[in-house]
Amino acid sequence: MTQDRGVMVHIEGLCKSFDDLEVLKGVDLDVRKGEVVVILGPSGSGKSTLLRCVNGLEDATAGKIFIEGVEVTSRKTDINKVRERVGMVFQSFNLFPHLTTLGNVMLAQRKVHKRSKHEAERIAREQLGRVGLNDKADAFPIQLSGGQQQRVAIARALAMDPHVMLFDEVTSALDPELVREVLEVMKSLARAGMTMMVVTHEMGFARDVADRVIFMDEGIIMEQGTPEEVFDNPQDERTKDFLGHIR
Amino acid sequence: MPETDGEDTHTMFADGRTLHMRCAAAVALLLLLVSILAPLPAVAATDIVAEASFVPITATIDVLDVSFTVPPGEFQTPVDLLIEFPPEMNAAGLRGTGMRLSDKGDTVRPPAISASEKGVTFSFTASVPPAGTVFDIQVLGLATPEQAGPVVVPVKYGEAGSLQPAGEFTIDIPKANILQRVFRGMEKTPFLHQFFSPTIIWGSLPLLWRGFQVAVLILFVSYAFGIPLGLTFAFMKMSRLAIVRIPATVAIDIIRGTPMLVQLLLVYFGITYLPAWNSLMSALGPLAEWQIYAISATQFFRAIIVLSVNSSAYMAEIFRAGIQSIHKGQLEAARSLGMSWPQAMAYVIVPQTVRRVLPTMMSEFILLFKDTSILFAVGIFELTLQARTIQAAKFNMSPYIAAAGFYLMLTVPLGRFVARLEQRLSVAETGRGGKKRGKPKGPLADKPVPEEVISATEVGLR
Repeated sequence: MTQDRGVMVHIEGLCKSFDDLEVLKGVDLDVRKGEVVVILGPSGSGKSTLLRCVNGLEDATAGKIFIEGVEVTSRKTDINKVRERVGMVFQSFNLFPHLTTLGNVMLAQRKVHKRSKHEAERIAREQLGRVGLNDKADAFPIQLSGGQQQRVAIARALAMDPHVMLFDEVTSALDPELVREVLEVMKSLARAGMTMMVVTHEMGFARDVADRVIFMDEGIIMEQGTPEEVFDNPQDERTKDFLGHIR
Repeated sequence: MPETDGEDTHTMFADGRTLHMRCAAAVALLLLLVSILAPLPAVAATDIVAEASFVPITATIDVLDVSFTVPPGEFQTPVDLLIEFPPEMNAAGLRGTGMRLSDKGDTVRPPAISASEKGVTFSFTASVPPAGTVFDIQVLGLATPEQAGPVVVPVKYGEAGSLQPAGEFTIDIPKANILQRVFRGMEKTPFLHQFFSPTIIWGSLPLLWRGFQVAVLILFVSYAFGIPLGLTFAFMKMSRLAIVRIPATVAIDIIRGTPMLVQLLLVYFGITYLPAWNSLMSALGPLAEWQIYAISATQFFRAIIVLSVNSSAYMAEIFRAGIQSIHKGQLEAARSLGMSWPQAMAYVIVPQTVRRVLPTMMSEFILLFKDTSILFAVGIFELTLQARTIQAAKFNMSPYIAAAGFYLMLTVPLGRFVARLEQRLSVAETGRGGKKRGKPKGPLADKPVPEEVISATEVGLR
């Protein structure tokens, strides 16, 4: 397998079925280091499944996925090792409700990276500061707004020093007024050079931040290009239709 | 205090045990204990405290009989007499008529005196050896008459037929208080006597307390063993491997699908046919015969095996439901951070499960406590069997009422506690994102259902 050194995520011929339901029907995609790829598409198009396959939350039915040259889809690969380099943020936040904000950000550092308590806390506070939540370190998730929870979830993922971040509709569960604060964090992350795969319905974000926009439907990539290409001059009928509906 | 006659004078207590005396025996103290407040099993709740005053008696002749007359009145319980002798006298073969030696070497306990008898006489087979012997006679369980006031009790001694008065003592019987009068009224009402006899309930308390202790001990040990076993069953049942999952599923089905009484009889008695068990018990040696509360360790082991395994099957379902009630995003979040499955379980899933299953687990604790009662079927003297035994002896249902009280003593406060806990936890819950939009709107906005679901479907099956 030849790997371009600049390629962070390499996906080839990815198929995924849930029983009889074929969700991904052969996806090929390369994400370069530092690239922000925004994936658009109607619900059921397989966007989330694609992300979940990337960090092994779903097993691929066929095809291969490489992250920094390591094959995720191989049985021989220690998936936990891969996941250390792949941060993921979910639509439903999934903060650990029994831990404080600080505890949420520290737990995996301590258990996976085996960092000392002191170091884990230092890094946790650093990352919480990065998402603007240093003052909420001792709050429990239930005491935070949705936007704050999602920012904690981002900090939690960042604390693991990921090489690539996956964002799975991270603003879809938020009240409209809370969406902005999360997007701001993601923007600053993108500016800092993080490799990101973002599934979202926030067209504004896609236009501003994305290096590349991918439109998916029915389990395949229908169209991809720069935001300008995809938004202003869509080629595929379904892309046009979708963008028409969204706006 | 007591006097002796003749040249060999002795004070009773210091050297009364010496037998070098010739003259008359000394009858020193007649101690009459009539007590209600001391929690003696033989004392009825309706008894009234009467303090007796005693007259020191100096005997001048050999004593063959001692006699006194108890006050007229109603005997609620048979009078019990206790006579203490110096051990040397027992060695000399002294026996009272109709008396038997008790376990204590120096005590003779005559047969209980029937309620109708008013006079009490001890007869000895031989004259009491001469002076210096201390007799300590206690009268226990004497119910005093209803009428208040002083009652004179004459005491005689000597040989039968020629008893001479030795003196008398007076017991002053106080007026019955309201409670005592109510209790007496209850005893005279057939229904109340049959089910709520204060005397029988009061009298059964010591044995029931013992039974309660046994039940609670078995409860705690069984529960403690049930938890790890239940967790094991739960994880086995959730396994993807059929070879692990199916045995656990079958075991849980069998345990939950058959009456615990059947399991108890089968295992408690059946296990003794297993060579492995017997060799284990003989390997334990004296430990197996070690007794606590008059129940041997082997009995305990067998009872605990049945109860803990039975309980673990129910716990397994509680744990499984609890673990599965945790949003699967929690596991995914943990795994996506690079945590292994065991790490995710240990640090993320199980801690959340514990809080969720706590109320249900406490309900299981209460259920298990009540289930200890079936141990009566194999003859373990826990609360129910103690009550049954007293009931059979007295032909009276009151011990069951008292036993029920003992059960309630634990189950009601615990039940209240569980209810409060459930309320508090359901308020503290939420905040785990989930499908809801935005922040939780209020403490109960996202109230999850796991506790209710589990208790209704899993525990309610029993």
